[in-house]
This record gives sequence, structure tokens and C-alpha cells, in this order.
Amino acid sequence: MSVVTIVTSLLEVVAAVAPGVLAAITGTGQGTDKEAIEAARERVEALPVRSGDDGAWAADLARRERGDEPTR
Amino acid sequence: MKICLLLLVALMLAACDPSAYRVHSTAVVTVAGAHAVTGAAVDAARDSALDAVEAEHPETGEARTAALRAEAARWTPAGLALDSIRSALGTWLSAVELARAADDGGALLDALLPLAARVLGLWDDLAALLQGLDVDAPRLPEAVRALVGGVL
Repeated sequence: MSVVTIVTSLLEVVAAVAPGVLAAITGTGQGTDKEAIEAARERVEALPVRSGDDGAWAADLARRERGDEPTR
Repeated sequence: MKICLLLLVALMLAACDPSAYRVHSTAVVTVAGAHAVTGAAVDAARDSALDAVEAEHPETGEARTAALRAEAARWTPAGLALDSIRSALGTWLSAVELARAADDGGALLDALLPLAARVLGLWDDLAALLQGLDVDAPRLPEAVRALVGGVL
């Protein structure tokens, strides 16, 4: 079973129960609405940007073209 | 055991009465979680593909650069799609923030549902795109889809 399949299953099970339970698990169930929105904002902004000249993939491609070792 | 679990869930449900703003925030977090997992899978698949090109062209030079760029170009649409969804999630949250600030009883939030639906539509487009790259994207939970069910 792949990681994606497992995550999909978990998301399905949790989200099928109720948004309230999901909120409790994801950390958006506590505090005020404003805090929940801010917590969600942090989750979104933590997602990496991949495309464009400043994206993670451009730097990775440039490194590979130079023949440098990966830093990851 | 199952009865205990159901009782626990019932208790949690009774304790949680999320506002519409919180439901939307949770939906955004859920999609962001799926985005993180899918993005990591895409990164790993792209890395493998580019590693294979490097193995085929161990010496730096024009041939290696051309081959790397050709392979990287295959993944560019996936990166753009992931970044589009990331941006759309931010816009969705901004709309929720505006609706909360307006405090009009949820009328504005209802009017913003098409935006949420657009994000979910982008996810479906991404999943279709990734199929061509042999990468699976998790299906978004029905609870998230139900949130904008009347719009989709």
C-alpha cells in the first residue's frame, strides 16, 4: 500500500466523520475563528513553491547542470 | 472496542460545533495536507527521473544539460499546477478572512463557495495531469467536496 493510498484512506476516514473532529486533529479546532484561519494560513504558506525562477525546482536543475552534489 | 470509538467520536462531535469559517479553514488545511503529500511524491518522482538522466550522462556538458532540461520540462506543468493550487488556497483563506471580518451571518461566505469549488476543480486537474507522470494524487475527502457540493 503506497503512502498516498494510506494518506487518502486516513483523510477519507477522518473527514467522513465530521469537520469538527478533523479540525481537532489538524489543530484548527481550538481557539477563535481568527486563530483557525491563521493556523490554516501557516499551513498553506509552509507549502514549497516549485515553479518559476525562484522556485525550488529551478535551483535543483541548476545544481544538477553544474554537477554539484545534492544538499538534501 | 468499536462501540468505545463511536462513543468517543460522538463525544467529540458534541464538543465541536465548528463555525462556517472554521469549517472552511479546516477544508483548506485538509487540501493543504493532501498538497504536501502529493508534492512530496512529485518531488521524489522528479528526482528519480533526473537522477536517471545524470546516471546516463555522468560528465557535465551540453548533452547532459540538454537531457536534464528536457526531463525537467516534463515536470514543469506539475510544478505549475501545484503552485496554482497553493495560491488558490491562499486566496480561499483570504476570502474566508474577509467574510469573517464582514460578519454578515455567512451570506458573503456562501457567495464565495464558487472560489472553493474552483480550488477543488484545480485539484482534479492536477490529479489528471499527474496520472500521465505515473504519480498518484490522493482523492480529496467527500466532506471537503460536500462543502461546495451545490456549486460543483
